[in-house]
Amino acid sequence: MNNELKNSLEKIINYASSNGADSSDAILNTGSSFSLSAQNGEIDKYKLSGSSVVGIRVIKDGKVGLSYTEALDDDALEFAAKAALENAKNTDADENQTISIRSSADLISKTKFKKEDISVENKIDFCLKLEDEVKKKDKRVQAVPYNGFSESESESYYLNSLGTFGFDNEFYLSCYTSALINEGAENSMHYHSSIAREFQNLDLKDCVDESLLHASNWLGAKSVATGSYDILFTQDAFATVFGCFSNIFSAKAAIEKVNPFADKLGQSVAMSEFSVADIPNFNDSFFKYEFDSEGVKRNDLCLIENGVLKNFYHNTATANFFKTKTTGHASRGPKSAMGVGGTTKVVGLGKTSDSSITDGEYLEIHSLQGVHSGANSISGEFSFGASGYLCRDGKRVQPVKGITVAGNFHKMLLNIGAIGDKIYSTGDKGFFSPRIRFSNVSIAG
Amino acid sequence: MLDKKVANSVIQAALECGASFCDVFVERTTTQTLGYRSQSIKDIKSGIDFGIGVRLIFGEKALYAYTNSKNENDLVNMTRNLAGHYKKDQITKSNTFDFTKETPYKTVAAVNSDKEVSLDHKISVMKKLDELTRAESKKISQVNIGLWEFEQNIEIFDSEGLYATEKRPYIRLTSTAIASDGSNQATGSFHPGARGGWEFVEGVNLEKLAVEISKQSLTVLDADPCPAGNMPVVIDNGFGGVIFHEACGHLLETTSVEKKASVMWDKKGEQVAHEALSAVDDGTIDGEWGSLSIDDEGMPTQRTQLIKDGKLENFMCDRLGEIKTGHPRTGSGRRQSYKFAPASRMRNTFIEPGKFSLEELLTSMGDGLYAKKMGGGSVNPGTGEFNFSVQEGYLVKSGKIEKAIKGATLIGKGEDVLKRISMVGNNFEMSTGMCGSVSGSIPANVGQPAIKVDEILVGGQA
Repeated sequence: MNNELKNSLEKIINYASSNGADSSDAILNTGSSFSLSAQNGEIDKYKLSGSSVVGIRVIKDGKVGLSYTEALDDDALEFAAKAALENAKNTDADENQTISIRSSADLISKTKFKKEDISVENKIDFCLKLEDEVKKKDKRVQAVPYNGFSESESESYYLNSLGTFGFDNEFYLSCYTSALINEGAENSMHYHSSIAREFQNLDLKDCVDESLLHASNWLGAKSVATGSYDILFTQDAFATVFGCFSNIFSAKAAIEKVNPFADKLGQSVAMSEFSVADIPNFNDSFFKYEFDSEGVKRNDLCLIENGVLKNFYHNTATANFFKTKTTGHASRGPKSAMGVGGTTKVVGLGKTSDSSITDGEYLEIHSLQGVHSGANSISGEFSFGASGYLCRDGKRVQPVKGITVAGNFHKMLLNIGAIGDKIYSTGDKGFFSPRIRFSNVSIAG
Repeated sequence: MLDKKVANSVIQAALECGASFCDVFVERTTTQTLGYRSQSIKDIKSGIDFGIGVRLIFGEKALYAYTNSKNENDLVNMTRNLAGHYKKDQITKSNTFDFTKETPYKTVAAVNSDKEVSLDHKISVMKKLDELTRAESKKISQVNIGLWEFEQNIEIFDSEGLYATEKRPYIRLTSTAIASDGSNQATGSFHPGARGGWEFVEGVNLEKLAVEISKQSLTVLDADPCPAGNMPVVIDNGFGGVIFHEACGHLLETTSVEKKASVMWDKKGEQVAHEALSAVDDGTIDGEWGSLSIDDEGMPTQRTQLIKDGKLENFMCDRLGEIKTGHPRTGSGRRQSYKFAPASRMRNTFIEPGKFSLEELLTSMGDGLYAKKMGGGSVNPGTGEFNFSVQEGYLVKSGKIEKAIKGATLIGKGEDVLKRISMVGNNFEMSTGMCGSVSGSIPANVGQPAIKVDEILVGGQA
């Protein structure tokens, strides 16, 4: 922990108080990173970064104002505090938004991540080897367009005018590569990445093999006939789809009338075997979340249990609105307004074995395109470009691309065919789920 | 913003380390955003971003670092540290630059941005838009309005003696209507923006905007699912231009071309599209959202003819792209902020108008899909495979609009679809968007008149 940065937070809170704020809180993020990318056996991009930003939220006469600054000198901190107060004058009063968390002890994250001392030469060698391995293993590789390494170190500080203080830190490394394979007039590309806390745990081989495997497989891929198919998403694809519709758990979205499940608490919203929880410190997850953006210690939260919607994500403001307690899901960055957000989601196990869930014919969806534009989080409708495999009895029988998968996510939750009895994670270990078979999904090819 | 002596010290340090080129990008951006939801002003945020990015070029290699500090020692040390691994004997002669004279360029005008307007007045305009939208139908259950204003001030110094500054004011009014019938919800949105200030918003017809977003949400609310399959499509003007942006624009950036990660990398001079199609990327249009006087490498922006009568004429190229590919720079080096090294990017990219009316396009299509409003999309430049969503669409039978549909996505390959754009309309219009890529998220316009694509895969209900 850097005491100078902690002092900056204390100063901005004091500036807010001395300029008339009734209450305030501030978040300071600081970080540095190093990244490399390689092309044609040479490092072509080499990047070092270092930056800090502090964002303050003030409440004055029930009105909220926000501002941020990337300069941390005294003048800049005072200017930001005054700007937030000025902004507060013009907002409408929000009686629900309060800064009221008083913690008896500092919230200091248990995990301490220490930057590894790896030489630049080693990192460069690693990055070059990634590209070289892709090219060496398959002579059809025309290019490795995306190939790199990065490491990132960050600290996050929280302080409010009641003295609640929190500190969290992070350090991780990542690498990625891709294979662009050309055969005749056809191009096929796939990309794969790895994330780790220690250099030796970056999985170079997996990045290379996965990139080549799918780029090679999809070279001869075809679309399938338009129709209804049973589908299984890979964990990463399912996490992506799930993420598009996570507003169904947001109390803030419910208040703002953009949560289609706003009045469905206690009602059945999914197949009866389906359960999902938000588990901030799930044992196997890569990132841990000990306190939220208001200084509230996080706890597990059941979202859907046996198909029934049980809880929404709450911060203090949404909890006040619904006359309940915050669930510790306040979400705010230095530059953003207060919202709610989840952490690691874990889908509960079902009863179907992996061998049964892959009975008969189905499509395994690996890669989705157009996710940011093809989903309507309010209506639940989606239509994405997709690629994957047509499978029979657990075996991939035909690579598939140039198809679209479309449907309504809310209806799909009710129309789950089967849930597996073994849990798997996404590549970044941020989402955990058994395999789930969805029935009769619209596929266009 | 940055002491010119400090800029010179950084550049000298870079050259002493053997860099063949160095530039220093200084940015100070002030931002204010207002959020109006549930008939009240919810958030007012403001902030200042400040930082300095230093780029060193060693042959075809680019090294980049950034910091919030403008202290000379910090910057020089950062530069030496950045060069560290690649440090070699000096190859470019050091000249001491005093940077007293700015490199001249023609300024692209902004819609007047100097007018002082109170927050109260801005909020009253947002309130009026909310009221007008809600008045359109009782089914409008929510209106989200945002006002985003930011002014980016940049300074660029480089080792060839360039010193350039630019003030770039931006404003965008975002508006979304949500319609609900009790069991279903649907949205309609439109987000006009400009290089400019408040006077742009004063020029927006609020009544028309309210009708547009409410009508769109109500239409989608009552729409049937889109049938899936291959069919002809007429894509209307304005944001319909996202098809060219995704299907072709990204493929013509040297950022992809230099890695051969674009199916177009070796097609310059070849017929890559139907002869009906000509397309341009133009950074010089006064007041437009994607316009710049100079790019983020200090080069005056240009009007770049990308495709003429179906033939590929030019790529969009930045300094590194020129070094790596030999294609000439086009003033296309862009970045979101000092946190990104510049890369070749689009500005205002559009298909030029043709001679047909929208009705002629629909009549010629016969049966198919009319995509009146497009959503966003994405592309894999390596394969040219793109996708984008239809925000408001209609099924057409015998050239006549039959009924509204929802949930449609168009997917295909850029090189295929370009050859299937067989008719180009005359109702040209541009529309604002944010484009995300390797150097961050930047303001970019898309544009086109209505176009007819003879066949494309439509994703929807099977």
